[in-house]
Amino acid sequence: MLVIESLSKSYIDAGEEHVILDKVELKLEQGDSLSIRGASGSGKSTLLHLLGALDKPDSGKILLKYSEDSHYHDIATFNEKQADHYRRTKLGLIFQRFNLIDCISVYDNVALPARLNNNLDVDYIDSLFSDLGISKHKKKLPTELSGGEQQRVAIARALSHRPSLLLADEPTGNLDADNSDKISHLLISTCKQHKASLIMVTHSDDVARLATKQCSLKKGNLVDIPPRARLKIVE
Amino acid sequence: MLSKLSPFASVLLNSYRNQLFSLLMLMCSLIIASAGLSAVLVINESAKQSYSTSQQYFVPNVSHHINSNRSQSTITKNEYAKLRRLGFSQLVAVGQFRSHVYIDGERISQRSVDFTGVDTSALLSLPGSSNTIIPGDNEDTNSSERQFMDNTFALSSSNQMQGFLHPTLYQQLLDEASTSPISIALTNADAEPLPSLQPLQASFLGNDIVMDMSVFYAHFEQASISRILVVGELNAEAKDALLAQLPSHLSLVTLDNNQQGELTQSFHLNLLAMALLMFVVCLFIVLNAAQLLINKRMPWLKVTRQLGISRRSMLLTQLVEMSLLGAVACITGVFLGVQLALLVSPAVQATLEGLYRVEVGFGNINIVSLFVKVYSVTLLGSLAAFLIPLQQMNQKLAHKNVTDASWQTPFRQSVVFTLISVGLAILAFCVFYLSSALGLLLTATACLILAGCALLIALYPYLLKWLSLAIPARFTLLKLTVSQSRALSNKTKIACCAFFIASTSNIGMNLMVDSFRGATQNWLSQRLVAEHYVYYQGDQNLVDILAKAGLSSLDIMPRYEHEIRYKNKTVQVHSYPVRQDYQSALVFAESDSSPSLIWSDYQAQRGIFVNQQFAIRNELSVGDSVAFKTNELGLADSKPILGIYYDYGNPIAQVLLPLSAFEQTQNARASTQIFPSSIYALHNLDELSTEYATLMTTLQALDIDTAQQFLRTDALLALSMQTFDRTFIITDGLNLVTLLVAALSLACAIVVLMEDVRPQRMLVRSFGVSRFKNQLLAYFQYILLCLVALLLATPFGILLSWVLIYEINYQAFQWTYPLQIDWLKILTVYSLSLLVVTLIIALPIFKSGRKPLIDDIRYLN
Repeated sequence: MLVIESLSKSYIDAGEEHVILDKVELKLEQGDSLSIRGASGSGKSTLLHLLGALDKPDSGKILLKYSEDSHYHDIATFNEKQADHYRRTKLGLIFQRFNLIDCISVYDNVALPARLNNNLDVDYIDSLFSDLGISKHKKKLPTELSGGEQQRVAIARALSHRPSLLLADEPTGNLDADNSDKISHLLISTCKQHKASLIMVTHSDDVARLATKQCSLKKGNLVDIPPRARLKIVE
Repeated sequence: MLSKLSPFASVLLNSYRNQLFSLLMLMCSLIIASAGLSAVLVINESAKQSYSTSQQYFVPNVSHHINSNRSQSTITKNEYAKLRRLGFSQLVAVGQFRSHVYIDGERISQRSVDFTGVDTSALLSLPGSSNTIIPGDNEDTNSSERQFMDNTFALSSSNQMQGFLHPTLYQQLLDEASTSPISIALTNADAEPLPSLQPLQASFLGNDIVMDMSVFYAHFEQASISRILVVGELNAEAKDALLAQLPSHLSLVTLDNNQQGELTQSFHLNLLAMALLMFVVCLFIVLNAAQLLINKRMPWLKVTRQLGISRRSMLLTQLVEMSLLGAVACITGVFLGVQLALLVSPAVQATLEGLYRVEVGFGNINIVSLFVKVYSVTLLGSLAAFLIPLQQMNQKLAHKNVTDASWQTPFRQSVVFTLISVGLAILAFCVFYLSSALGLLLTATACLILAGCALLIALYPYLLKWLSLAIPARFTLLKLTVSQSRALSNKTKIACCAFFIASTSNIGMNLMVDSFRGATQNWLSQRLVAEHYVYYQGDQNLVDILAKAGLSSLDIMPRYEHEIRYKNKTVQVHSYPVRQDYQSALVFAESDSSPSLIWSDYQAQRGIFVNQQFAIRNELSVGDSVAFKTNELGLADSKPILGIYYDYGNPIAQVLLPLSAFEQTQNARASTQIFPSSIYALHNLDELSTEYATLMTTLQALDIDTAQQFLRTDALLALSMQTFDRTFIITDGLNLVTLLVAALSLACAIVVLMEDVRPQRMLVRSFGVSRFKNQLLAYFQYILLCLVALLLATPFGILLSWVLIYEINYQAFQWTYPLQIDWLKILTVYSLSLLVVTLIIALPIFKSGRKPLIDDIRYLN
């Protein structure tokens, strides 16, 4: 369960203050997925960075309830050590550019976060490979795979340590339309299956529509896109 | 103006604004390279000039010296005057007195200066003195020496007394005196004024102040004539006539180029090594900086290529850029290099003086010639260095078929480098086996090291792969680091090669020096059988003097010395006793028969012992007969070699004969002392006995400095080892310089690769690995590369020390010593190397690791 309360973030450029996030509020249940759309510079990546404890907000709270725990942890107040621990154990990151480690095999790439946490579950990893359709590529190097295959590997890697929350920044940005569709379906279904919440930033309406919830960032505010509006778009 | 240049050139110039750091790094590298090279060239040239002129005291056409053959005896003015009156007008006396420099009786400098007096009247009276040929002939030298003679003659005749010194020494004295920058008036310690100083730009002037003999003696009464120069050739008749008139304590020594060659060979070898090393160092510095610049430019180079600018245009423009930058850097570098040479001169001077008795003086530095030399070398080196990254750039920007890249698979690259390594190694060993020319042997040694480099590049990926496989999976980050090191090894080939070369030379040189030290210490410990030694050169034998003083019971053994000629080379003939303790002390490198047989033949003068130098130079072994063609010392008949002994560090060939051979000749001639003895061994001397007290009194009465000339064996050993260690200070310095350069190369490589490894670093951080761990992993990646290089450098380093001892040393100096492999020393080299690398690469790694993760993510997205 993720709760954002009054989250604000601004920066100063040439002596002028620019408000990126203005008292953003959000609730996301465990296992749900959220897509965030918005114009360039609207603050989508900033929000993801705050959720990933990569940056600190000016004010507000980011409360995350770990699946096995009963109380909330305020990510916004984490120091560096806590942030490192959080990213290692509770968070999965998926980047637009896949960012796989070229010098180790696909299997080792996927297993890396789990190994770092000393909770490598071979059967679980194998199930991820199977769900994402990349079992035959285990021993290959990332450079031997196509873009779509690499992104599947990145998804598997992000889930290998059973995180509570997945953050994906334009996960299909570098893929063609066909692959984009497949990957986004896989991403959402796999997260749901493995009970990880997903927050996904995307420019693509088709990809955004696949999420449980849709929002857009406008003038620093996170605006829900109501179901009717989604239907209208579909029509 | 920019618009008039080619489009690419204008883009290049505009790029400087955004790539200032890379450009500055390249300029700094070029300046350091040219400064280092300039400094070494200046020191080399000054030292060569000083050494070559020190034998002549800048007097031209000297063929012989007349020296005293005993330290206590000097050449008197009467003896000199007598020889001149007898018609030997070619004789020119030279006196030297080393003293500190004073103003008003206050010492102004730590350095001592040689005050030198020359009998200019004799010099100027030589027939055709204005037309004499000056050694190292060039117009400048001739004119300045002629000017010196003219000035001296003119000034001495006008009673205006002057001393001439090199302008650099003059300036140094001015600086040290902190007086008026215009002039300096020296005095002696008693504040009595010395001759006024006249700077003279002449290559023969070093650390000395030269004046006319009459002026010299006016101020240094206590000084004596150091030697008498024989100017011009002596025919056989004149030589015999001169020898007949020489007093017994004076000897005539031919200024033999070959003899000089023996002494200067080791000197020039050192200088050559210094210059070569600096050249290689320069090359690596420039190469890394050039790579950095090209890497930074690559993104927009690709864009310009896409816009249609040809590769040829890009290549030519950048080569011109390199030439211009090189010229600008060389101007600065040459200036800095000259200043650096003057700065380090005292330290280098002290070391070289102690070893070779030269003065690293103030040679005639032709700045234009120096700039041309340095610029040529720097330009060649930088163009060669630039060509590699430019070639890589060319390949990246070229249109290639798929098959073009296929040959560059890692396996094929490894095969190619392995073949190169094997080829170079075979070439090197062929040269070692077949050649004795020093230049070729040094080149072969370089080939051997390059073979090691090629092997390192070939094996790097496989060694790291096997290491990665050997690490259990549970050590995730370690396994990942080793895997990343493997990828890194491909991009840091040059830096790793620099480190490999530095490590190999460190290990090799350290093992060589340690083996030499160990061998010398063991040899000296064994050879010094007595408990005390006295150094004394007098008219009478010390044994006789002590006997007259009532010390006939002292167990004292003289060492008689003589010199003969064998195949136009000087050979020392020394006495060596046959007592049992002396038999055990003599260490043979080669001997055939049983010791008792050898020694009985030796005692009966049925054979001789020779040192390694004699045997190797004349290609002789044990059993070979030697015919000396002299009637002295029972050497009329040819004698077989009974044994070849170690004689470390002696540049001269040597033969040993029993004391009886010397005593027989002495008795036959019925004179008290034909063969001088300079060293006496005292055995079983009780320092608490009255005999000892009497001995000390007697020695002091002979003006023997008991602190310097009467030594216990352990003190003598300590002094010898001290001298030994001083000898290799320059070597240690060079080792450190090569290590520093290697570490700098690595630091450059790290800066270059920062952008390349940014995604990997960001990724590991995003997994929750702490900043410190990330920095540690980055550091470990490079240290791992260094460690692998060190491991491979070890066998090559041992091989290098073998080559240095058994090939280079053998050919250069005709003696060898056993190689001792000290693993503790090798581990010390490991530790020092890794420490130096750590100190230098820590900063760029630390700085890059401090960047917030969010910056990396933003940058990459």
